[in-house]
Amino acid sequence: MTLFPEVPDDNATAQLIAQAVAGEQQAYAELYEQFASGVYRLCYSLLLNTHDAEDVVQETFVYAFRNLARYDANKSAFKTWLYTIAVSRCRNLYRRQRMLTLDISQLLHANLAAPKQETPEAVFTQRSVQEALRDALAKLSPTLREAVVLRYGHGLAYREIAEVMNCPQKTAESRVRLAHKQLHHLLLPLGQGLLEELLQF
Amino acid sequence: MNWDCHYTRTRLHGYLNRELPVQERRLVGQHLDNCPQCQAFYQRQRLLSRDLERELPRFGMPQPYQLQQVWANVQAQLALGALPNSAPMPSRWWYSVAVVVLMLFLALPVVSGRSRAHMLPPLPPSPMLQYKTATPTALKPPVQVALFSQTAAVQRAVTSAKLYNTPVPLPSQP
Ligand SMILES: [Zn+2]
Repeated sequence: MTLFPEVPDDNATAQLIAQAVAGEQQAYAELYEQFASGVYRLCYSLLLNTHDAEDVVQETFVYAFRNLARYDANKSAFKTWLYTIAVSRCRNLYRRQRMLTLDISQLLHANLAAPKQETPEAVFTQRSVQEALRDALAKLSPTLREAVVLRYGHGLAYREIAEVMNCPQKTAESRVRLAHKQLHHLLLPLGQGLLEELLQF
Repeated sequence: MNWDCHYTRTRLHGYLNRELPVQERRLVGQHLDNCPQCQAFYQRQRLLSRDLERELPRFGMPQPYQLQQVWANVQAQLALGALPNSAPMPSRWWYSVAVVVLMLFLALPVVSGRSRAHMLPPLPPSPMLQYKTATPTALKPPVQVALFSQTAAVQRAVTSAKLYNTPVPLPSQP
């Protein structure tokens, strides 16, 4: 995969974990520095909300550092272990988020006038690629979002996705495939031009 | 859509990610070369895959100040959490010691009172024994002495026990 700025060396990570378990404070800081960005991206991609993402990143590292002695490098990569913790905490928020979204949309319908008449194309051309992705991700079910984000956003293998999502590997594969298919339908009507534009970066 | 198109499209995702067995990969590749509809569909899928691979890793990239703020919170929470993790053992240990000490001090008046009473010179014979051998009139003085001396012994014991109790740095008993 291409752009994963926070992929650390496994041996260096193992050494840092050993130092942290031995009580070296600096090792905790370095572990955070290496993995926080990835955990944040994951949480934000799943929750699509800055505040919630920050909360979950915080919870994830507090839990992970308190239980660092229990981490077994033979069972999973440290990143996968962190992601498993983060995803389980994101799942706790999906339901609350859905209720909040419902409240807000009801509020909007109650207080706002009818939407302006704009063609979808006109709206779309003004928005950035990242916003388009955000909207598309928001339309996926949380399960499919997890699958596609772990696969394409973090370059995890299906085996690792299955571990993080706590499901069989075949299920992880079919979820990635289904998410891809749905994103195809969600993004394509917005314009073939967008996809081509993306490739210009 | 004929069977070949269906076969190809159900495997396109695997084909894109190079996850198909060699034989299936060859069949899909051959069909794509010969079917413009599937070829167009494949190109769109390929575009989307490349799009996702390129865009999703930069999606939701945090600002440095966000991660710094979260790190400050993590540190604060871990420092707070360190107290209950390390404190309970010593504090429970001290509580149990305090309880034992308290029980010892509570028991002290009784224990010391008894032992001192035993260490006193023997009391005069009890009234019941006296009753058998002596006349009723002769009972009075020894009974009075016995009662008096017993009270005095207990009083001395209690006074001395109080001396032991004075330095206890614990809250007063209810
Ligand atoms: Zn075809």
